[in-house]
Amino acid sequence: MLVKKLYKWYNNTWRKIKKRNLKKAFCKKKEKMSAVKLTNVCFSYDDEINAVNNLSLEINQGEYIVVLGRNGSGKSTVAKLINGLITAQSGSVEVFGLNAANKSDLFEIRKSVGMVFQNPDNQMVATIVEDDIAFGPENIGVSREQIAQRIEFALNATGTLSFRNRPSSELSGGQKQRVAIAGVLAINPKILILDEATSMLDPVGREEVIGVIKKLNKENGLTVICVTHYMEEALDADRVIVMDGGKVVMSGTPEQIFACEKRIEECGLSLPRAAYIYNRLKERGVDLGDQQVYTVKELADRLCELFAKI
Amino acid sequence: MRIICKDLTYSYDPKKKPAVYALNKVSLTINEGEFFGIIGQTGSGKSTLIQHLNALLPVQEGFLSVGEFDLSLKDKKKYKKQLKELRSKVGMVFQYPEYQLFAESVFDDVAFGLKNFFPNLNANEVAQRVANALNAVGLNYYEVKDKSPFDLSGGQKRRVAIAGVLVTDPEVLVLDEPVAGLDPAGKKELMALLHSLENGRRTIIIVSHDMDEVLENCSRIAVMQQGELVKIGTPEEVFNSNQSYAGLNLPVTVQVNNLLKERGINLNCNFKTEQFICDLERFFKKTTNN
Repeated sequence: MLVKKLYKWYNNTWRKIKKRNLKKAFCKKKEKMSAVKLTNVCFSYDDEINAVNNLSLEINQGEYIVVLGRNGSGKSTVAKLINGLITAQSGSVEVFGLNAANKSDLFEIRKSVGMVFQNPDNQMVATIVEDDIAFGPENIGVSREQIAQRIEFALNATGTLSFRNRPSSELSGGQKQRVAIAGVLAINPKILILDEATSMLDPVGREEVIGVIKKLNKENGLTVICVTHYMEEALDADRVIVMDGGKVVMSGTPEQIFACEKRIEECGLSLPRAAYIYNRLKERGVDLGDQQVYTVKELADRLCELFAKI
Repeated sequence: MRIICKDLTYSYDPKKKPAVYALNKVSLTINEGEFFGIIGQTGSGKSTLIQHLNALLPVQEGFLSVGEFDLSLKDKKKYKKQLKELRSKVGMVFQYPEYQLFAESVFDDVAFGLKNFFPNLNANEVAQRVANALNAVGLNYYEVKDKSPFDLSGGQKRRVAIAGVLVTDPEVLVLDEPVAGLDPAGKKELMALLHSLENGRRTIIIVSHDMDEVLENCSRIAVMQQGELVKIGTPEEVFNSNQSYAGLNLPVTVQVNNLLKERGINLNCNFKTEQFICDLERFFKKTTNN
């Protein structure tokens, strides 16, 4: 009897404590938790020029970040620093509170930071698509049943279901890239870094992949860092970061960034084409309203309004 | 050199039943001196098509001739004999050509193809032609010739790779996604560079996923879909037919035009961005004055 009572008491208290902890954890989640924190980071490939030059940057959990910048501005270097492929020569790189300089934390960091590169050929290991996707989770010791589930999820999320049994060497560049993304998703990362990963896809393939990534960001809370040369892709971001000369030179919402056309061009970038057309028309005295236009639809709407006026 | 393709058919696995065709009865003619664009979804057969042009893939079925070279010859000896000359005249620049750089110096890298095609050239001639090729891609010969190609920036590497193809003075230059991975400023520069290589005779063929790019630059465009050629014509014809193509979007100006058309407004604008802006300006100013 006593034992039973004791057991009940113990169980209840345990439950209460657990509940309280959960609540605490939940409250914490509501605050913006920092996913990546770079502080005064320098990195040089050849000890002469700093590819990343005294850069500080904080990225919150769940954020959708787009990084823009000319070739050689240090975008890819930052991406590699974040998942510990290269180690900062000075300054600190923290991922979910873990320091990338600690060798013992590197494995954990790489597990939580999935990376998709520009050229999918560099990222293919197995001959068959399905095996290739299984490679990541197998390596980190995921159980067999779970691997099957994850493959299913990754194939569905990237629209690669129809060629799961095909040799990856037979796929076109764009198809391979989607398989590469699936392979990373199978590791179930908390942060996904895409280093110009859509540059080899055709427009619809690109939209599909971006759609998937947006969904993963919104619904699963995946933190996304997307390095790209497509200005249109920046419009989807929570925050856009512009790099030049190894530094962050601009940071803000897409609207804030694209409001400074001259500055953008100085950084080797351009406006989304619809915004460019709007600006040129405005200069020539065609009044499409004061508010800046970014998308094709917005531009068409304004032209329509103007047409109705005259 | 004129390129004539008739019912060109190719399968990567000819024994497979039912057959999967990477190219299915493709017929087209590309004229001398054209700036020609090939667009299509990934896996639509664009790369397969262009790899036929310098005989990287043999003709399985159908007819293909590039200038005086008949690539559908059944006589193997005759076919093989012409390959070297053909390849010096049809230059092929692959996707991300900078990954193919290998030599210790830019000079050696650019000269590699030249020396292979023309082993009888003396050192002076080689130097002269390498210098010409590097200058043509906008690089200073004396500045870069002794550098390691791996110390150059991404855009410069790509230029060196193009110079390595240009050095044999090809009459047909084929580029697979030449601007992929470049920043907007680099894209603009490279397209300007390609236009500077036009000399009235040289045919330039680009494969691209960027509809705005082909619209702005090409004189004619071919659209591929699942191994078949579904449309060929000027940019206006290709994008104006109220047709959409699998895997592709439409250029921004065309999209705007179509959205307005849906609402009953017909602007009749040229689709090239700068022209589009001018036409719009004229349109609205004229209407306000009236």
